[in-house]
Amino acid sequence: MMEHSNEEIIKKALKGACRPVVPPPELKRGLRERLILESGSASGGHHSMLNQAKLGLIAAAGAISGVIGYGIWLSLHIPV
Amino acid sequence: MAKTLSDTARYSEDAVLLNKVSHGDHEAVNTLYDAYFNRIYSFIFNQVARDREAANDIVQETFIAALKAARKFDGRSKAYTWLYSIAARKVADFYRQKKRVDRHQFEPVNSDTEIDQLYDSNQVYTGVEPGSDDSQMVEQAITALPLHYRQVLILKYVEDMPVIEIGQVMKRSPKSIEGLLSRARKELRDRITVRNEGKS
Repeated sequence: MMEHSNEEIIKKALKGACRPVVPPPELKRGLRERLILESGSASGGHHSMLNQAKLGLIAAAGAISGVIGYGIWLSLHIPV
Repeated sequence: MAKTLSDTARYSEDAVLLNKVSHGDHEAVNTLYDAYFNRIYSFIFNQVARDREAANDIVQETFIAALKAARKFDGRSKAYTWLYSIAARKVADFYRQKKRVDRHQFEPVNSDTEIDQLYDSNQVYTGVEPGSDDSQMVEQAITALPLHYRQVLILKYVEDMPVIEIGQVMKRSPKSIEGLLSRARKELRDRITVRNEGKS
């Protein structure tokens, strides 16, 4: 009971001392614009990483096909 | 603690929202921002001794960091506790940088032993009620507390956050939060008592 009433006193004191504040409107507006701008580039960055990975896979597949093709060509053109 | 049905729905709603944020969905960014900007701002503001300049910088760092980390949101907590944890970390970073400048006032206490050493077991309380009148005195006492005490008290009594969620914000177990809360309350009472005695 005593502990409960102590908690209530502390709660009241803290609520009184740490009141909610209104943020500066220019900060709110400016940060929103920045977030919108950066969200495009952040997701763009994510997409460009995916694209890079895709390009890498295509290049690797091309190189492997080239090696196999060269091997086949050699087997057909070099007399045993 | 088991999640309730509404909690589960909330977690998945938040996961969807943050997934959209991570994919650059402007509407989702606005939704997250409108829902939490004011609360996060007040939370930060009250931890930095109501220093507007510092609060402005930290809130910007918090939301930019949240935007970058949205992809990693795992849905195991609510979006707001996740945002509070980023804000709490940014406030800690701010004090870490400030520590060199003002080492004495803001040095955090790291271990339980150090915390216990702060107490004078012979101190007699005079029964001063902190909430009676002078909120400025309480404000000064809060500012003088180590950061993790200040954070836990603000989360519990100003933000009305349950202990389990405070644990998610501060990356501690609920049991550890209960202990921290108890020590923080005691430390705050001590500081208010000392200030009050100094006044009389």
